[in-house]
Amino acid sequence: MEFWGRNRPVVTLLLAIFLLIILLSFSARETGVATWPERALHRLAAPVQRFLVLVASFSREVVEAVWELRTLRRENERLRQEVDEITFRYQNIVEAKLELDRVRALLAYSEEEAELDLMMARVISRGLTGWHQEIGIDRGRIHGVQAGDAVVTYRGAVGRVIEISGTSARVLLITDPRSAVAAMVQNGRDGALAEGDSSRLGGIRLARLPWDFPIAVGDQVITSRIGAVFPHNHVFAIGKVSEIVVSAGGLLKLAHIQPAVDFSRLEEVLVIRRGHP
Amino acid sequence: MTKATYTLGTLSVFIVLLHGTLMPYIAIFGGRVNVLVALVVAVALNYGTATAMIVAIATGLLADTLFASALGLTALPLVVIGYTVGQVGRRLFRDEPLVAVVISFTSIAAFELLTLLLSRMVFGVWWGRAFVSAFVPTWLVNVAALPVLITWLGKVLPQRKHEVI
Repeated sequence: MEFWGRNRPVVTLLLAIFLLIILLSFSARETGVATWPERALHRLAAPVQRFLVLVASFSREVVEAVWELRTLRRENERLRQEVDEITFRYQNIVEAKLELDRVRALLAYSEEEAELDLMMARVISRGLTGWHQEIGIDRGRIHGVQAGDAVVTYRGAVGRVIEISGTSARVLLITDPRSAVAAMVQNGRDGALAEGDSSRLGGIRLARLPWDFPIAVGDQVITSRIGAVFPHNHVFAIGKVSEIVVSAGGLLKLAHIQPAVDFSRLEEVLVIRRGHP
Repeated sequence: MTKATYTLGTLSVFIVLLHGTLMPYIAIFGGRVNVLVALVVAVALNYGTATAMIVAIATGLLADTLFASALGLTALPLVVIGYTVGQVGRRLFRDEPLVAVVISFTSIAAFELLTLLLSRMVFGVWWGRAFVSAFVPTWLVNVAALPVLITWLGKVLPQRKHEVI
């Protein structure tokens, strides 16, 4: 009894180890079937295990989400920069395509009007104020441009060159009040003078028409073959009659013309070089 | 059966389930915090050898039944740890933080090595090079985590006078 009292912990330990080793050696054999205490314990623990696994997987997802947030922020920043870069490139591509379409249209027109000496020019400046309907083009004396040369697009008349320098020129648009172009109504063939409309900036008008001048809203107005600016053997659209106003006395009338060319979007034009060999 | 026994029993069952379910999910570089060792060490330091050995056998066998392929694989190392810490703990000033660190350091090493040895004996397998990659992270993680856990468990466990068997 004295031995047991003094060595109880060691004896208990050795006994426990002995029993556990026996248990271990027996239980390590693969029988394929769980014993009934094992089955009972598994059944009891299963709901708690399921709950804990659920909590564990949820916690892990939360931790991973927080961890990934930093990465995602960086990724987001990088992608934003990429989107900006792609947008910039895309805009340039769209711009290039639009320019290509316009140049193709001008080229097609040049081929149709083969007998005209047409030269494409880019619009490089616009009038500093709305009062002066002028544009600057990137073709000048060295390209064979002369003062007085007509400027057109495939849509119609644009204006005439009023000032040239070596590599550029200034063009007075037909919408400028200083401009006057010999015109005629396409259907009736009656001639008139198309002036820049000083009362409607950016517009054109046929002024001082006799009261019985055959013209109606919607009529097409074109350049006549007798003017000094545009070639006699070709006609160019000026615009369509949008409104007819009879003067107070009833003797004269005035026709407002909606220009055929959209001058606000003019980017490329064709210069008709008359003096070029 | 006292209230303290019920509390200890419930806590032990909860820790076994925690060990088998939650802890594998929060492994750090492959190393898991061994809450079973923490429990046995905390019980050994607070209650003494006898209680520690009972808790070690009970939790170890429960863990083996639920999560291991052989009974005793966890229980045996835990019993040895419970006995050793219970015996050594009598001679130590347990509130000293360094005590928890040193005990964690040795307990987890003992647990891992004993488990490995038993696996070798029972199943005849040897992990070879994988031993280092499996043992080192587990050991490091536990050396860092166990002192905190043991201290915390010491506060959570029902207060009882240290017993000697």
